Amino acid sequence: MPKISLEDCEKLSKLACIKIKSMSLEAIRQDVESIITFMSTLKSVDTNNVMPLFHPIEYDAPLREDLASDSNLVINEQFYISPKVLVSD
Amino acid sequence: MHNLSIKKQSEALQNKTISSIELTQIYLERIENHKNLNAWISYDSTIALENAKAADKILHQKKANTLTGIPMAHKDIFCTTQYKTTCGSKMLANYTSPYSATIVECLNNQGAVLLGKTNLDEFAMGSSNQNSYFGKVHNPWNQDFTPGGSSGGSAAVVAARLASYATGSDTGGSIRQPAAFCGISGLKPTYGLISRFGMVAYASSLDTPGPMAKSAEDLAIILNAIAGYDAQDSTSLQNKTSNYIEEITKPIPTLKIGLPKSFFDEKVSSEVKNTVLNAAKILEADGASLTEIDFELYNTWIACYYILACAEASSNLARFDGIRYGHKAENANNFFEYITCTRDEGFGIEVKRRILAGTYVLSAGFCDEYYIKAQKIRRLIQNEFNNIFKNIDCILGPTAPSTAFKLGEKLACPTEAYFHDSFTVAANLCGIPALSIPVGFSSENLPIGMQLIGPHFSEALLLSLAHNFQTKTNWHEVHA
Repeated sequence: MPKISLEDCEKLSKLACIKIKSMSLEAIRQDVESIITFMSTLKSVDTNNVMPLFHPIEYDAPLREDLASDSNLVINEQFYISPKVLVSD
Repeated sequence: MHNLSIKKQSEALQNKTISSIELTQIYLERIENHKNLNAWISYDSTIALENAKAADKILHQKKANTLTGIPMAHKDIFCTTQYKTTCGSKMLANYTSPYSATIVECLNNQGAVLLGKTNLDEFAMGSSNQNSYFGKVHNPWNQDFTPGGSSGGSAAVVAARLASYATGSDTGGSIRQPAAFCGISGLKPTYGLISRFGMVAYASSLDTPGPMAKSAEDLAIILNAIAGYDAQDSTSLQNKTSNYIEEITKPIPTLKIGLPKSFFDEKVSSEVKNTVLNAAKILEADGASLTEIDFELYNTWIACYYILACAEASSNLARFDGIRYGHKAENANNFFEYITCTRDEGFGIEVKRRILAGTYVLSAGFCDEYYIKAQKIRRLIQNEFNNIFKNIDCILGPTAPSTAFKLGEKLACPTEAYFHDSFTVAANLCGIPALSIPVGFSSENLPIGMQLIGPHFSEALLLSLAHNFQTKTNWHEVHA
């Protein structure tokens, strides 16, 4: 059974960029340990010579010519004018 | 009028028995009277009535199709320019998208009337709708119970007839399980059949948008409008889609239906088992042959799913850093503290658990042991399904091991709730379609759902079978 220490949990929170201050580190340690323990049940399955399946439908992604295709594209001299997508709060 | 099917509502709109504005007003009044369900994150009568006015114009010009003027709801995980898109999170509580999701555009193009956005488990992580920053949703059949999740708000508004239909998203059962808990019909289509563009990502290789409605016929009407290739989603499939309305009215060939042993074992509520078996007998009486099947890898499904879902979530949710989107921490002393505090304050507990677990399974030293191992087991699971579909046409079983559980239950132990997804996650791991339809009630008067699972692109078959069942029963017409 995997053991997650408080130090492990601190390292994880640093890697995940989540400062654990709104709840106790011990509570989150227990939760993560129970999830990892639950995930560890897969260890006994024989996966020798099995290729990973990263995507449920394996196919070649459709490709297109590397050309701007937006029908709303506005061109001003040599510049493409992009629509305004960022608005301040 | 609010209890009628989409087809009948559309006929009433087209023959001018009622206008879209009048139909929308009926729903708006019902929404006001059912605020206690907490099923909506946002709704706006002004926007809805503007949509309805535009729909009435199309109806007047005789250019309408079946969905024109029908009031509906989007799960608040789909980007809309008219409403905020919160994902049920404090992180995005004030976020408005500059563009709409493809599924939203598809329905807008049909003249749909958007009533509002529905509540959900934060970033679609949960099976009970208790993980929302905007509060828990109540099941319309009994408000002490959950509506299921994560599309619990969408299921509740359709069950309580606060919208004619709704959209949902299904990463491990998030359309089918709430559909079962609320007594409605819900479809998780083949991965790639409906565009994910504009649907905020939880686990990209598993996330599937889909319709939630009163009946299989309604699902077919909606699917016709939203299925199809979208160049903006690199995983969208270019396969030709069917006319699902035409398909469901065709005679069904003699089918061989598999009932997995593990879906009917001792851990499943006997009421649920017996009700689903009775429903299966209706299909058998109609010519289908039922056969018992066995999944050797059944016990690996849940762990495999949660490893992959958490890993993908930890990667997808890295974008929420307080710089580009949403919540921003105050009083941070430096850049790193600003990001880490933003994420601590903006995410709820279940999201944090899954990000941390996902970070663990992807971290150096553990990636092969957990993440790669799970991807290999995913292939074995898909192989097992492919082999089973060589001999049978579809799989039938309960959607969930029990009826809806009480609000407050399954919160203490995070993994206890995960087991509720036991029968639904495999369809996401394999990318195959599955639907849930209501087939009866428990002694506590809570709905029971039956799931049908088929091979890739078998939506027409599943919908036909479900529609045929619903022509012989009336569970789908009973409403909360």
